[in-house]
Amino acid sequence: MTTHDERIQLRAFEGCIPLNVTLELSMRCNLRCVHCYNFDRELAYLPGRARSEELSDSEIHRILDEVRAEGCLYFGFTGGEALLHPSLAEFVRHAAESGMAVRVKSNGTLLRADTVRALVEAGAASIDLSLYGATAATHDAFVKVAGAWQRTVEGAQRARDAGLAVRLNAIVVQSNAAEVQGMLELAAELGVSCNLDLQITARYDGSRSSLDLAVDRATLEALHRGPLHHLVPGGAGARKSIQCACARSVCGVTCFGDVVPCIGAPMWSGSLREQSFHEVWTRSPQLSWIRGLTEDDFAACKDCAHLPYCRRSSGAIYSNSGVYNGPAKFGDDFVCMEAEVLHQIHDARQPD
Amino acid sequence: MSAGRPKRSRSTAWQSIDGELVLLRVRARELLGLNPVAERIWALADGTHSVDEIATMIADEFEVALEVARADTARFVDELVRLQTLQVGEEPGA
Repeated sequence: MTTHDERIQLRAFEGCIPLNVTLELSMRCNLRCVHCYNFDRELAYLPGRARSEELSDSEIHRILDEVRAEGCLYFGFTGGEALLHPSLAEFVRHAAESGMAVRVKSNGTLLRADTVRALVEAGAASIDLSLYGATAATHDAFVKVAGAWQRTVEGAQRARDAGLAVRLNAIVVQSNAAEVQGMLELAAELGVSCNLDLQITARYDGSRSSLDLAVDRATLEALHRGPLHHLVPGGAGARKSIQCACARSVCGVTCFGDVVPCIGAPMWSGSLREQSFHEVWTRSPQLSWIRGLTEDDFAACKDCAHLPYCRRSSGAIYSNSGVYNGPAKFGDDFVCMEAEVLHQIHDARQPD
Repeated sequence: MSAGRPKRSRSTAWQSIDGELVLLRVRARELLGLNPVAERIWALADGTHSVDEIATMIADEFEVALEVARADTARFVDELVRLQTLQVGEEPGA
């Protein structure tokens, strides 16, 4: 059975309507997460770019109008740290009053009472908060700022109490894998939802050290036999298509005004400083190329026995390999190992 | 209700998708599809028109009897108020 939302998403996918748009407000962040996909946070800024190049407020307001006119319903603000932008509440108000459902993605450390109130009054609907451990010691070591975990948890409580839909985005890596159950329990205690993500990607700056943080196979197996058993697909697996929604119903805009197929797929597809969103969305050769891909273009995936269990993301594959329709062969990416593990656990559950 | 001025609630998002206006009740995560008459009422529900005024415009634009338009408009507005998708104020823009 499909829900109305799934039907709308399918119509947007088939009609290439940018129903889901994420705007990166800034590269600035008050944490220094070791896995950050923007750039190595030991550096002052993204190499080759300057903070002064980031979008102005007036450019952001124009982009909000343009993506809305093109069909956006679900709009997300991300960063960097979105709450560091002094005009965030104004952007949220603009997006909400124009009819979009607004989600803010944040680390939550700056969610003071007045900030939460401003977001709610502006019309924000939901907030995603990144979590890297069930304990302050693990989380704070990951984000390299003492006291961050406590502030994130308190921010989640304030946001929840103010009526925002709160989701903890728990990033699972080798160093916090032992706390997965604890993270799930923390979300339950807070009364908020929890999304677990095991996939780490290379960075926009091309550095790949973040990939070393991913869980190893033994840990992956233990997690899927234990606290993450609910992520093992039932039946024969539900995945129907290799392709994700990038460039069809999903789109991203970087803090420099560059359009990308998805905020997680750093493939330059046009500049909103040179063209309107409509022009980029309808004429970009890069976006058209993605829309023209067929299952046959995913050579290593199309006949893969583990495909029904695969959580492949073209953006992550592109970030990691530089090839959007990769991987070049089975096993080249983390998702291959994950799909194989899920498949094996699923089959082991089946009666003889 | 007839003198009240319906206004779209901020807890509702909306978009026209393939020619169909879809309302999203954000907190309930529920999507509602609107027919053309309902879509027009939604467009007019900006806090400046009374329910009666909206019904009169619906009657004119869709060539239906005024009493039918009044009843249908009131019923639709009542339902969206119940779903907290519309709010009704007495003053323009309230």
